[in-house]
Amino acid sequence: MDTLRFIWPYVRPHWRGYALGLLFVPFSVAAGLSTPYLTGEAVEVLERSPGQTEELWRVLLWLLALSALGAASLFAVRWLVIGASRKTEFDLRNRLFRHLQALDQLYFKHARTGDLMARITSDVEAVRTIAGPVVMYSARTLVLLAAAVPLMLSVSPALTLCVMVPLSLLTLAVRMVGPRVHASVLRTQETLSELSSAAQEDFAGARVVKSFAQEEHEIRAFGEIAQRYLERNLEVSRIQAIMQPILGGVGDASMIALLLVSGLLMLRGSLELSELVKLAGYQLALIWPMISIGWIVNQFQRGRASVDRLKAVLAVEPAVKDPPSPSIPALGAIEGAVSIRGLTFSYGAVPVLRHVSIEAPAGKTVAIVGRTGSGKSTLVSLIPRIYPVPDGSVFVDGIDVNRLPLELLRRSIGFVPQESFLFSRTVSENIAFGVEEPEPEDIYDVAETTRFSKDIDQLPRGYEELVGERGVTLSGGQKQRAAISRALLVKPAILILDDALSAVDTQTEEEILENLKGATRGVTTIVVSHRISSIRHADRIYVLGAGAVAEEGTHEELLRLDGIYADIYRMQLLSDELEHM
Amino acid sequence: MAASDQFQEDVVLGRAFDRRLMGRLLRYGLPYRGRIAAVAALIVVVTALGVASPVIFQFAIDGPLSSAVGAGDPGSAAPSGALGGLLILVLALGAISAALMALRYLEIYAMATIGQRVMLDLRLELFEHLQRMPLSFYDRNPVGRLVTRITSDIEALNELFTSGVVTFVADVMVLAAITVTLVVFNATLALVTLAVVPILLAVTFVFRAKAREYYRDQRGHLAHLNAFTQESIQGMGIIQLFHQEERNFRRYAEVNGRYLDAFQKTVLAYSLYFPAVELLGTAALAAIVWKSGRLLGEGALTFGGFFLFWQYLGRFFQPIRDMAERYNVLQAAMAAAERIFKVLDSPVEPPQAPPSGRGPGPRGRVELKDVWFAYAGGEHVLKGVSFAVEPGETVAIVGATGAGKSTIASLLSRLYEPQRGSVELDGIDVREHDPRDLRRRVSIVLQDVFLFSRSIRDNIRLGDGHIPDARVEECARHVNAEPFILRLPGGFGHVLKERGATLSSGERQLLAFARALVHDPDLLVLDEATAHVDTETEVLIQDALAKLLRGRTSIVIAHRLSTLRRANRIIVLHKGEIREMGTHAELFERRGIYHKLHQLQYK
Repeated sequence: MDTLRFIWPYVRPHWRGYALGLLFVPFSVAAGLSTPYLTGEAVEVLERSPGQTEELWRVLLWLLALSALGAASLFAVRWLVIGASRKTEFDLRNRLFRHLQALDQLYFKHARTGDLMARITSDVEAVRTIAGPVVMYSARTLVLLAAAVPLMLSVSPALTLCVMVPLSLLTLAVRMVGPRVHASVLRTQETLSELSSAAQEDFAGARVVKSFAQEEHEIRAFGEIAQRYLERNLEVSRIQAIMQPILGGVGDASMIALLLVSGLLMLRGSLELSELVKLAGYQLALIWPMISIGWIVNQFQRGRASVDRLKAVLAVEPAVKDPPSPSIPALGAIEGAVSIRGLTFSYGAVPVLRHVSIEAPAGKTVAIVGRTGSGKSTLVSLIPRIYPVPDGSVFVDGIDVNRLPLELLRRSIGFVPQESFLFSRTVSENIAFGVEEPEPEDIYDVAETTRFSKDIDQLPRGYEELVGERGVTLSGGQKQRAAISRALLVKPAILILDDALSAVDTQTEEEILENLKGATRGVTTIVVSHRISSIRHADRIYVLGAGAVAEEGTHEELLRLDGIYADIYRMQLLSDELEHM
Repeated sequence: MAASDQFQEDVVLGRAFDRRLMGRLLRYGLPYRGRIAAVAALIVVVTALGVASPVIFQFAIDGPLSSAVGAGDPGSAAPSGALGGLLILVLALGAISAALMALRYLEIYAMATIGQRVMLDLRLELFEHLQRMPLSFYDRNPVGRLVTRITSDIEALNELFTSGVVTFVADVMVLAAITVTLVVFNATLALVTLAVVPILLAVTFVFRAKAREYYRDQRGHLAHLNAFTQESIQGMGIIQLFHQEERNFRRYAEVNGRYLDAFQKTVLAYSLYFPAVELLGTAALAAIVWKSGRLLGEGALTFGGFFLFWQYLGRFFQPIRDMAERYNVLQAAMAAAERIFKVLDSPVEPPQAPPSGRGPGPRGRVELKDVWFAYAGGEHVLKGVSFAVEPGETVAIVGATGAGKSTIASLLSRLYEPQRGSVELDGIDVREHDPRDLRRRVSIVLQDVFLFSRSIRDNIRLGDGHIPDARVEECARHVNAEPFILRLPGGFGHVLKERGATLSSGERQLLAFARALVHDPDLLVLDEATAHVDTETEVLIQDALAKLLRGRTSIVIAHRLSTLRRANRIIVLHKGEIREMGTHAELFERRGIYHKLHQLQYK
């Protein structure tokens, strides 16, 4: 019932398709049953007067006419109902996707991509099966039983029993064995994914495997999983090997009963051959619908699990939302002053940031340095509210970010994340990702600023080259420069660079930084970096240690302090110098 | 990072039949030819029994029940023994049905077993082959693609073996058996019945061709939709940061819509095909009845015979529909086989040299003589590099980031081979060592430590099960890894998740040290980590490093001055060439690059 209630809102917009389709069900059933009935009638005609009589001709005409009607109805049912179910699926998928887009990054940090993919593919598919084939077969089977049972009873109650009792065993068999097959198939799939992760890990670690001469061991370990997978598969086959003969056997049983009882009745003279033909025809027509009852129940069971999983996703409340009554800055636009005051933040129980306070006045450049895991990335991702921000701790232009319209806030920030994620689209589409209708000149300009244009010119199709799987694979440095270009193109008031030049060599880095200085005049810039060389000229530098501000000041001040900053600086001089040799 | 290829499919399908490929595939069935023959015999029996029941009905109607049939006076006495005859036929039908159940079980299960075994053989062969591929092969082939070979491509072949070939043969046999029965029974009526078959075949193949085209289209759109979804989930942060939710959703709805449209075409094809087949069936039925009218009138056909034709008519359709279905399976399997064989045909690592035993030089002595090396298609990263490392000596290499330094490590293990010059261990070329033996003697510790999602213990000893737990723990203790391991739930038994992502870089470093130590190499090549770790871990790592290097022939790619000073000799490598070489004191005296570096650090 819950399942139906969940599906209903998606079905409702397409109710016309369903209603019209189901309207044809009685016609298709009637035509389907008319075939054995008329065949029986024809036999009766033949028994009375063998030969190609006019009477026979009339029966056959009826047969063909009704069959044509049946074919047309069958087409209409299928086309309309299955077609409508596809539209239902389309809506449901869109709804899910829209919902996912509204969820915050805290959710995505914990959710696995594979799991979400499974929900938006196979779970939606399972729901679609209920909205389509299950509806269609349920309707057909119900109408068919309602029509066929009285028809059979009118011929012979005893024979009706002979047909129906074994056939209902079909339903039972499918109902009982079906879930077992399903469970077994699931177990097999689990082993398959184990097998594929084992292979994946081995291929990814080929270097270690070879360096430590571990090939034999890997082969043995893989062989064991492959063997287990074989056994799981055979388990499925064993159930199927039992199931199929049973289904065949039950069908046969009903046929044997039919032969025995109808034979006895015919010998007593109380049954005609024509009636046997009708019953044998009805029996044939009922086999698949009786199987489908079991199938329908199984699908429902499976659908319920899928519905539960979909509901769980849809029930997640986005933790980052537009404020109900937003505060809009006086100018209607953001100037760019960022102020973080006593911010404490945690993903779980342990805080990653503790009482952090940072001031970035509009148009200034502020740098944040610190070791891996000191909370730098978390800190800067809170400014555009990528994670839920505690009230009263992050301010832009003096307004709590939680009170700013989300669109205004995010459109004012150019963010370059640590991992430069690019979409598998063209280079220019990637650069213009944040802009609806970009000017080509602007794209060239930002690519020039980030020293990316020369690389793009080297690509076979330049700016129109596809990135990723089906196109070129960019190097780490190229991706980073694409990501910076993307952030610059939105003409932000605040530019955030989260370790955005780590894969670029120092020479190019210096050039880019020089260019950026010109391009981002008046833009508040917050730079997170491992490399001292790229931030030494910042107006103010904050050193983060274990989630708290450990040191702050200008480059010179911090060197004089001779603390963590000075330590990191000395370490890096060596490697920098090596590169410059 | 662009979307992974997990949801991208090879939608290109090729020919359905390729004699060369098929011949090669069938060879994998050879070890099971006994079972295959048994299954073939089973199929014959099952086919024969499966088409028997209409014949029994015919016997019944024309035999014991004949008195109740036809224009003969109804209610006339049944011939004597009619009841007995009927019972015998019912029993025969029951016996056939029972036998069929048992034989079908055997048939299905035996077929599945053969398919699964062939698949296992092929899968293991492929995996073993991949293990013997040179490292450069892995540089060229993305991991995802190789995983597809060993999973879905092999699965496609399973389909071929279980539901493809054998079922195809069974279907052909059923059709042949029915045809023969019909012709034997009444040639004229058989001709009328069979007249529908060409039309059915034509309709089915047209439908198949269309359905296949639509299906391919639909798979393509589905792959696209899935790739788009996956990419959006992975790049959700960027979408939100740039406030592109609306635009991205419009794109999604468009891709989703294209998939819907493609699917509707398939729905249309099926919606047309099934009714068409039903209509054809009825037309054939009408033809049979009409013709039977004449034949019954002439006495050339019995009512039992008519019943038999009527019953067989329905059984024609399924095998023909199935045969068309097989075509797809075959096509997919051929494409998969092609891809699999392509991997199997790519050459493995250079053949193993005959073990020449120990070289003439001192054990563990390493020498590079005028080594030139470039990765496929790239610039030379080593240009005429020559140096030697004496047994027990620690040599440190410094130089700018670039492939040159770590390449030396790969060359020593013969993961790659130099284009010019030679690399020698014990005074003989590494190419003359047994590669497996060579790699056991050389341990490489890289900056980027690769950990398996296995227990800590197994990550240290790897597959060498003969290394006792006590030894693993001792080594871990020696390199200061034990304290953090014992803090993990389950200690040494703690199973790492997703390549040890939960461990810090310092902890990963220490595990790599333990791994190297437990294998007790004759030569240790170590790429010192550049990552900044906290001070306490740094102290632990330095201490472990000192222990690891003590008295062991080692080459260290150094990033810290403290490590450089620990080395017996220092090599300054720049742009693929050796610029300075000597002890710390010598280089310091020379006042060259090394001196400058040193000054910088302590200025």
